[in-house]
Amino acid sequence: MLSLFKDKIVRRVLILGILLRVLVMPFLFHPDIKTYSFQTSFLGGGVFNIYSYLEANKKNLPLREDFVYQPLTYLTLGVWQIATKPLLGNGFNTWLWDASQKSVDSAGVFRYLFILKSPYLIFDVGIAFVLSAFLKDIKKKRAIFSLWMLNPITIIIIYAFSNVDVIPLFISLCAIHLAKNKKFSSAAILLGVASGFKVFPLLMLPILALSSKDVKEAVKIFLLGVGTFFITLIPFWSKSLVSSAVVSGLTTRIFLTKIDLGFGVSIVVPVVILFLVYLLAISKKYKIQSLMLVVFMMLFSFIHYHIQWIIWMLPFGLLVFIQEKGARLALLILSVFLFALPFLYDDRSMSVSLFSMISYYFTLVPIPFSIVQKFYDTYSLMSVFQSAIVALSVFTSWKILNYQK
Amino acid sequence: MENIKLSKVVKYSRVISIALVVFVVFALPAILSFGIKFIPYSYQTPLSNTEDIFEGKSVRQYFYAKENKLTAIGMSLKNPNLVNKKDIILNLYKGESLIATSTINGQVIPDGDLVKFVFNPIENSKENYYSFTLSAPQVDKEHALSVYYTNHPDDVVGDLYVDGMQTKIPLSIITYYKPQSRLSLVAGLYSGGMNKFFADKEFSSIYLMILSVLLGFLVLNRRKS
Repeated sequence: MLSLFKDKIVRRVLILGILLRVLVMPFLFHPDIKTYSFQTSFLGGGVFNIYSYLEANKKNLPLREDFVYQPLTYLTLGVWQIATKPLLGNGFNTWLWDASQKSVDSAGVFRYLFILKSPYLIFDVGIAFVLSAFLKDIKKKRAIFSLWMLNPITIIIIYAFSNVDVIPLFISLCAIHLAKNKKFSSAAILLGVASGFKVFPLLMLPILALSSKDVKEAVKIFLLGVGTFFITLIPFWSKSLVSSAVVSGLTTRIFLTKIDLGFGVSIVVPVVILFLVYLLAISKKYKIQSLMLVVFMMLFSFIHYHIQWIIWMLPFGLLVFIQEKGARLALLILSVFLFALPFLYDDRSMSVSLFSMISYYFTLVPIPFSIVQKFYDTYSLMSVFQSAIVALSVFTSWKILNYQK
Repeated sequence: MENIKLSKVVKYSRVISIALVVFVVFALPAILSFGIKFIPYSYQTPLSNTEDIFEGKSVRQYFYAKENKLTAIGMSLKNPNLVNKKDIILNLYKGESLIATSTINGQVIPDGDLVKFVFNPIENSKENYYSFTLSAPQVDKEHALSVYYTNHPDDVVGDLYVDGMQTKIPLSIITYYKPQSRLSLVAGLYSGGMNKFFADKEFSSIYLMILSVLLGFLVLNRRKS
């Protein structure tokens, strides 16, 4: 995998990609990074179970949000903070504890953002190498490496929105690569570990299990994945872990779209989609990475997704983009719509507030939502975008599945 | 048309990435600054208890204008579940003469939102002492909006009167001013950001070194190939 580094073109792309990321890292700010950095800083203070600690002490803390990620995120980011404490400097804790608007005035903010986002760079570059390992032809390897490293969507989503999802995504991708080489048990364990950071890799587990040779093997793989996930949870198990991370509002948002049948019963559209794709996996006619892409494309079509979630499908989108010529145009248009829609949300932190560390004045700039509202109903425009995403996802899925059949 | 060439996509993706990052980091802040209609004199002071505003109960807050072109007054308002859907009126006075009025309807005030009452800029407002009243004549007591006090007043606020009676602490308010010129605002934003960046000398030098090393590697790699 790392032999690719000897290739001059790849090396140039890598350096340019890192350069662009370094340019974005210290200057763009999404409030999530301050919230979860504040929460993970408690590991350095000896707090192991962050979920129970936050529940007990919430009233005395300046930031009172739950810790919505899984335990391994807490441990990884907490250890990173402990390791980089000398580099972060003395003012870091004061900045973390300052929930007022004045915190943007801290002279160290650019340093903090740069250091806190640095670990993402390792996993991000790692994804580019793992992606290239999926392909045999050197030209295609170069192409996918370049499309990941020099991709405006990945750069903005990971470094402007401080996306911790890049860590479980890297591990999940390693798992899918193992599954491609028929190492299903190791792949399932890795998916379980990835879910220990954030639960989305669990959505991939049934595809992995159903792609194995028989029912016995499928059950074994499924249990291995789920079991590993629960092992990561056991030391933290508490009511607060379940409510804030396992079944948090963010996690359950995926299952919100319903068709009401009356009498309290409804059809949960994302569950229908998941079942359909899982059934397709049984036939073993389709590539695992293609099914992963179909799952995420179809899910995002029917939910109010967060911009950070788009990264879940990007590596699979790129693999399909390289391998299936017929789906390229639709995938390109789909990625533009998927990326553009969240900027229209009525949420300041999705757009103008990204610059608030340069100056607090940027929080006074009208957001795209209110600008569009002056000419046209923004919700109607968002509905048009979402509908286009549905059409493009259905079309692309049909193209991919039809082509592979 | 469907079979897009991979080499073309790779090429365009590289160009778009470089252009987008350079645009977002260096140019977009300047473009966004055109959307800044007014700038605050200071940050909002911490919020404390609240005072209800309804028919027959109003407040009068005195304050100093610290810059010219005073154009808005901001304050946090409590409106749980958008219970108030009637007008709340801010009247601005210099001495006893009414010089501006701004009205906002309760249905556009989410609970706890920082609400800005905007009026025409007052040219030579700097160092003048003003007062404003906040009233809601159509609102009954059950649907009252509430305004926040502060225990940590800044140098902007003066005395507060509730129904003519002076209180111990003032409201938490922010005064806003129209920028003197668009150019000075953009220059101020960039110089402010640069000053903050270079204030952390250790980080700024290491960061610039990292950028130079990466650029150097890039140039070197290009020459070799």
